[in-house]
Amino acid sequence: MQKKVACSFPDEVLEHVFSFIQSDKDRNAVSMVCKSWYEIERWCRRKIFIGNCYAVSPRMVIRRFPKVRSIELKGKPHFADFNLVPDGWGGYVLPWIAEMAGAYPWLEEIRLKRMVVTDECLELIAKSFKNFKVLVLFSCEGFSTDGLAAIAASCMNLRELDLRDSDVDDLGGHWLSHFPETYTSLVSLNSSCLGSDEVSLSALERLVGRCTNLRTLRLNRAVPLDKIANILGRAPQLVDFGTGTYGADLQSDVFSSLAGAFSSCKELRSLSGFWDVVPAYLPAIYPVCSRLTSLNLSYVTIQSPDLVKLLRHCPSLQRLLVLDYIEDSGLEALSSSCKDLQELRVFPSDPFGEEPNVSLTEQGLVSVCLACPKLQSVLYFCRRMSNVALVTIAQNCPNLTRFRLCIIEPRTADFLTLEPLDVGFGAIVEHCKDLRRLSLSGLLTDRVFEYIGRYAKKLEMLSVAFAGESDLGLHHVLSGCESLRKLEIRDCPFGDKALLANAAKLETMRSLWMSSCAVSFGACKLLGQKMPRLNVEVIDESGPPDSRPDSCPVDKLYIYRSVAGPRFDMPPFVWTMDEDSALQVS
Amino acid sequence: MEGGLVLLGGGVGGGGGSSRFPANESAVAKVEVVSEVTELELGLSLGGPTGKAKATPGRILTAKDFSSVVVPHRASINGGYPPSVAVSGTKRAADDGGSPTVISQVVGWPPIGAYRMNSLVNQAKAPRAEENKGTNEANNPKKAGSTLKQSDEKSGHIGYTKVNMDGIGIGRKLDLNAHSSYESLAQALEDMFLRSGGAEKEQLTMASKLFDGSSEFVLTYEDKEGDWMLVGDVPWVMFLTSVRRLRVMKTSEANGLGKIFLFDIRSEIAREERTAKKQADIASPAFTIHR
Repeated sequence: MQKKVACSFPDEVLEHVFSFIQSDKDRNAVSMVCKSWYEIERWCRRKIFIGNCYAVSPRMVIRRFPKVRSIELKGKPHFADFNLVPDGWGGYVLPWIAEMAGAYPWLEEIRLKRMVVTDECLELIAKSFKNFKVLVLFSCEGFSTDGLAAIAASCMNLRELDLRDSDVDDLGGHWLSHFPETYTSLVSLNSSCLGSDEVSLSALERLVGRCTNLRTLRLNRAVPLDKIANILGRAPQLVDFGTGTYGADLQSDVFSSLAGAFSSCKELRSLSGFWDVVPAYLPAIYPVCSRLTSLNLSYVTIQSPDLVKLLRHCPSLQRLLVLDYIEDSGLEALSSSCKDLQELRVFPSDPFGEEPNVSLTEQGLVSVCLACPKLQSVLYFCRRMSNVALVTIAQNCPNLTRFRLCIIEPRTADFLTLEPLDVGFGAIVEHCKDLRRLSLSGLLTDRVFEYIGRYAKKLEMLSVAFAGESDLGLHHVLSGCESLRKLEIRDCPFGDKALLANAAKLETMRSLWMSSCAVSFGACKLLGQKMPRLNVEVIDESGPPDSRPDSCPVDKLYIYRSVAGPRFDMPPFVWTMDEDSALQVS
Repeated sequence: MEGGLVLLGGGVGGGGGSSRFPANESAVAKVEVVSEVTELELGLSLGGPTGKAKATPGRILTAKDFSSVVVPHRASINGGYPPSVAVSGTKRAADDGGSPTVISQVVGWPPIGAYRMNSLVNQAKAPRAEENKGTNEANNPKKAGSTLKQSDEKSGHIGYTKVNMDGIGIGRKLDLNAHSSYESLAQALEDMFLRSGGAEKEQLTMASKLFDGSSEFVLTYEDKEGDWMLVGDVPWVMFLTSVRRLRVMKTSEANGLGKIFLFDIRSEIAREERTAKKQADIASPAFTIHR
């Protein structure tokens, strides 16, 4: 009966209906209704997101979805950001580009995160995709500005080039001049990560001048302050602007042209950059402050009073990134000025100092949470915390979706009671029912995991460090957190039992990272043997794990589900546990 | 095959435990590893030999002969159980001017993205920042400049330094902040390039040539002016503030840098701050300086 209904619509109608369904989850659901829907859907899927590039092979993707126009891939585990993943681990995008070059000649968008991209890849992209529009390389590495020059020279329809946080070998600014004079399609350029002192200012100015659709422009540090006015003057339509260096000896004519340039940018909503700030130049941005919704001052090393002066001009602020120079007093001022605040990130200015260099404590965060009801996303580095503060935060900000707290010294107890912070984080997960991402720190026992397992039903990503007492902690999380996709753990006393008892759970998750824990090599082998759809990879730079007894703990463990089987591009310090490993004599 | 990177053999920096040098033996340093680090001790103290492995006479002193007891860069020492020493222990290190704080020795903690860390470094070193210190002194007293101050006074380096070895395709990264001395660096490099599991025989041979002092390779670094220098010429702390990246270079290519690839231990010790006495005892005719 149902089959009849499904077949009564011609394919084209169904396809048209499906075109309104954009989310991956919905698309996946659609494809599972019946065989014919599966077929129709796969031919009209245009956008693919692959959260782990090793979960599937390029060929499998191409076989199922022959007409893709946009692809997003993620490579290395998140902890690679903190140098926990040794160089050479993997995440190479070349095999993907190579396959797609033939299969998707009309590919328009490539978005990569934590992948290794070479100049060869970039040249291949430039050559293979005639209608290429969007290239986002987020925290990638392995390429140079020569590769960018190839993209610039060939991609006549390029709209977006975003290199945020990537590690680029910057050979100088000449790559910009490879954009032909006839090229005018640029909408978004983020080259803020480029590190060379050289930049071709004239090429930049000409490019900005002729690309009248430019909305986002984030410059790199090499662009001096006195050039900003010129650049902004050519692009008053900008919505998102990142300065280069924002410091120089104060000169009134430079200041006034800067202020004038900013005031003519009526659409400006987001500012960033501000390296090497000279406070005297900050008032130049006051004309745009009242409309700003996003402000990234996380490289601004100025004192709290100057920061507060600036923030008082920004009542519409929704997103603020700042260094802990803002201090508790500054955050209090923020909370009274910026009632619409949704996201706050406070970074440490002196993370390795033994003593605090600024007066920033849990109070700052509490005052923001008390006054800003719309707060959803928090990243906060501080040196002390209390359960009482966490409970206050939880009760006043039930809408939190992302909460990442980093108390700088591992295993720091509640400074008031000297107890673990279990109750405080327990309150967070209990009250913030939509919490999707959580990072823990401080002194924590197995109890906090009990709370997490019990309450954090929407939690998708959990980061744990220096916490817990026994396998029970891990067991609570794996058995309780229904929505868990990514779990990353370091330096916790979690061993084999919880892992093996919850092996099936791992197939419902994207990945699990465990480093400096107590999982034995034997357990890894067992897991690899019993769970063919999991790739169990042991990372150990000190030598082959089978040269030691099975009971020895592995250094680092990365487990992820995959339909592609074990990968073949592993470096010498990564071992995969497959079906045969448990049978090998060690 | 014993090997260690042939570098400055000047002894242990602000590491914990003590290194003892026998009064009479030449070219040999024996090290006593103290397992419980309760206080970080400076440098060398001399005394009788203890049970550690003894270098064969005439062999060049290498990193292996010194054991840096400063907490190793991996937080897990004993199977992943809370590293008792690494973090919560020694907070108040002896003020030796060259010893990094304990936190900085835990890899990847605090969890600050590598990109941001590198920016912190660049910010601290940027000439503009230094220029502006003058104009901003009223506004930016030590607090705002503390990143800069931190980098000058403490370990001098935040973030990771790239290391490449000639002949090995994959470059690596190293946290110099986790080391307090050249020996410690040498050991880390040894571990990195020699012991990356499954190392090909070829790789081992290459590395052994480096590390046993037959001098096919030297360790060099690019400083902030872009010049390539031999590692070991300057005191450790100064090295940290100027190093941009490292390269284990074939000696044949290092000619322009001068032919010094073994270092005069005497002069190095004289330069480093030490509380130990009898530095002259370390000097030995077995060391040669090739010029």
